[in-house]
Amino acid sequence: MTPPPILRIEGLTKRYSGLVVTDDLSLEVEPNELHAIIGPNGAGKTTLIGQLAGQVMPDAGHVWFDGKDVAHASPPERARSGIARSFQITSIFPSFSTEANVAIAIQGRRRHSFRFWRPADRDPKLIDPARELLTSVGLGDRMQTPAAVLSHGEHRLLELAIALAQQPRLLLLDEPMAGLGSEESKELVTFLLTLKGRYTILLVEHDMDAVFALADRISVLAAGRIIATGTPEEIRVDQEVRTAYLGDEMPIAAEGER
Amino acid sequence: MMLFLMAVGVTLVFGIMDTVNLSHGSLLMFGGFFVVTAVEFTGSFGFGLLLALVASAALAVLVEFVVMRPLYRRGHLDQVLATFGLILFFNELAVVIWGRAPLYLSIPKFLSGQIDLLGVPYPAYRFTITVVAALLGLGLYFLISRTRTGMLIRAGADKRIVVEMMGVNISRLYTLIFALGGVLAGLAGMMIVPLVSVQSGMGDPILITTLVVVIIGGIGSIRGALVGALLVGVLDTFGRILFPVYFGTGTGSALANMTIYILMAGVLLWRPRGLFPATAP
Amino acid sequence: MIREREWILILVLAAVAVAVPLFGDGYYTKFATKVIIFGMAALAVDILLGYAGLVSFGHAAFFGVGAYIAGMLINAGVVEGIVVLAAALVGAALIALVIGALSLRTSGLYFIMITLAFAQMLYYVGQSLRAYGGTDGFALDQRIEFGGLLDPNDTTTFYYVSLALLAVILFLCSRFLRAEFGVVLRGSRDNAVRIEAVGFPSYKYKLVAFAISGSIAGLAGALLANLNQYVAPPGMLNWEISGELLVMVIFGAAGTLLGPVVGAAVFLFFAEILSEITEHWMLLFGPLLLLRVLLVRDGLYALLQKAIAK
Repeated sequence: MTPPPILRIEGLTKRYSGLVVTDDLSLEVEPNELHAIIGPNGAGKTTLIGQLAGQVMPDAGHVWFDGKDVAHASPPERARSGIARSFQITSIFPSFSTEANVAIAIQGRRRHSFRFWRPADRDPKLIDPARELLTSVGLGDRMQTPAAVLSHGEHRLLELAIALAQQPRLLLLDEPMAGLGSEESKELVTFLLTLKGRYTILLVEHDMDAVFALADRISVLAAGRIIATGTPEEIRVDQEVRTAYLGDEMPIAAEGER
Repeated sequence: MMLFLMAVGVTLVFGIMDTVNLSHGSLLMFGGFFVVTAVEFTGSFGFGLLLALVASAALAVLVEFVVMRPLYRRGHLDQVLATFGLILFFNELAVVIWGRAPLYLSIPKFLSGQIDLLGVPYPAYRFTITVVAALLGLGLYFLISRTRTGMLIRAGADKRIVVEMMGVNISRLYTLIFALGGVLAGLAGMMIVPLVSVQSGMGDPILITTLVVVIIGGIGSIRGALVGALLVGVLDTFGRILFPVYFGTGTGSALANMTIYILMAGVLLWRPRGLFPATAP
Repeated sequence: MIREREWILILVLAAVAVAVPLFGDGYYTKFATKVIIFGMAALAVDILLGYAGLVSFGHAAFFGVGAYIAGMLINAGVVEGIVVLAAALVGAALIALVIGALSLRTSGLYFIMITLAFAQMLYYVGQSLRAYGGTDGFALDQRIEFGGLLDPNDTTTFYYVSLALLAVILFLCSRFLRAEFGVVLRGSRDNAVRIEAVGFPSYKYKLVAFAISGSIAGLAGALLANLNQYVAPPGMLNWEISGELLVMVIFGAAGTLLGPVVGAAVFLFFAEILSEITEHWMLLFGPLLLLRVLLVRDGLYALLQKAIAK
């Protein structure tokens, strides 16, 4: 018997003034699988991630996470229940040091932060794991650097590190490769491979090489609907997918530049 | 209606240029001073008004050029502070030039009578103000929604860079908008002079009321400015009449003064971006 | 680097502050007390502005509430300092909780304006208090006492009491701003979306910060009421006060603890000096403020920090 899906999306719908961005979408994600979502620009990928993490409220439908419907929970509530996300457009704390960016995410796992006395930047329970995590993503020599002055590639890594620091049971990655050079992308793929099997990951990505190298299963999103789900091999040969999307031009990972 | 004129000016600058200008009240005050001086100087209300209008526009352009221009790209806080400094300066400047005593201007003769408004006698001057403001409102609406300049203004609000790339001189456009706002404020100042009196600092309370109007209406929305001004004007008037009757003079007048702020707080709680948000969140 | 050397700066400022009454006469000491009080209120504004990224244009409200509570209690015969000051603190905090709970639902310009609106409401409340002089305000029968141990009517004593309170508040602020609470606050300033995405309901944290800030402003207001032995809506509750507090913070350097105090000193100093040169000192101060905003990026205190770091 297969384990129940950790994430079950049912009939999710979102409209922006008449325009249907997410159209009665349903999808299941198994525990510890790496599930990739691909689709042309404007298919509603980022909006979908937003509805899973709480930044965007759906107009209808359910998001069952671990058996609970979180479709209308606030972002912090979902973060606390174990959903973490990365952002397509880097979203960090620019005035914090790299280390503090990760430490605050670790702090977010505590029940509350109404603590007024002990300096947080000296708390080994926050700092030590932050350093460990940063070393593992390759930012070990940038701990004390203000996050604002990191390079784009380093920002992408930090973005990922913040999400990982939340120790999520569901990790939503919104185009982690956006804007990276091919060398940097390869390194990131290698790193993501080390996460496989340890985390449940929903990956939105334009870089097809990365998607096919990483994913256990792939879902294709077009015009707000899932038009196909399957193993990378099944998707590669799926005729509908080919005509809808893969056929004539491979999308380039340029969407993240906006 | 006076409020509407002020509010339109502020909301234009606010919404379209994304810039806070607290010194808008000072422009109103100077409009008042200008008209008094100019009428004295020329001896004619019409000429004086014209002269004062030109002076208001010139002042607005000057302010835009010297102060506002470097501020567009700054945060709201810098804008608040800089224009706060401007208020202090202008208020004092007015004292230096015109003294502390309030100045008066009598209503020109041909507008001083009463007219018959649906059987109710109504002061002709107030009626004139309302008509002028209404006409200006319509004109503005037309300007913004129908003409090429208006289109550019609206586009400039959303996508400053795009409009610039289209080869439009956006800074000239901004000067124009600011001057327009300044003239409207000046005009508002001129028109209330005969009703109240001009003195240093007269613009400040009006400015705050104006901000309330703008916020209620939604920043950057002309329609919002109109509805907001009407709401605030009507509620304020009724509040002043009714509250003292029901709650006694003490509490009543306090409540009356608070009415519009309560209204604003209520509106913001209900709709955090005002009644008519000009741009999508 | 800056961190360690900052101690020198703090010590110098502290030494100057302690030494003030030794020089000059009572007039200067009274002036210095005013600096301390406004510095405290400006610090309250800076907690929100510099650390939480919230521009409150309504801190006159809490300043005034503190002053009124102090004045009313004293005239009712409650003169014990600790009781009066604590009441002002708690009273202002409660008002701040209510105003904050409503205002924090908005953001940006709307937040600036709604805080202004609430402050204006309180201004009119103050004005309508007939029993307490309405617009004219009322005089205090006496200053607060501290169990008969200290003579509050002595200018120097009152100065040191204010200074000690400021020092305590500065210390407490430096603790909580660096603790986990402060981290969340600064995080919400830096990135409102991300702070929620990592699990913090930032509204709650901002609200607590708003209440803390309000209570500090209330304490400052209570002290000012005692210093002047007078309470009135203009000069305590009017919107210009809110503006001036913001100006002090910016002059000094937002996001630092001592910056607002330095800013208050500079602001009041200018007001004093310029008003001696000319009755129309605002004529000079307005452009000065303008130049500060247009030309200098950091506040004065930040400049001092840089100077010693070299």
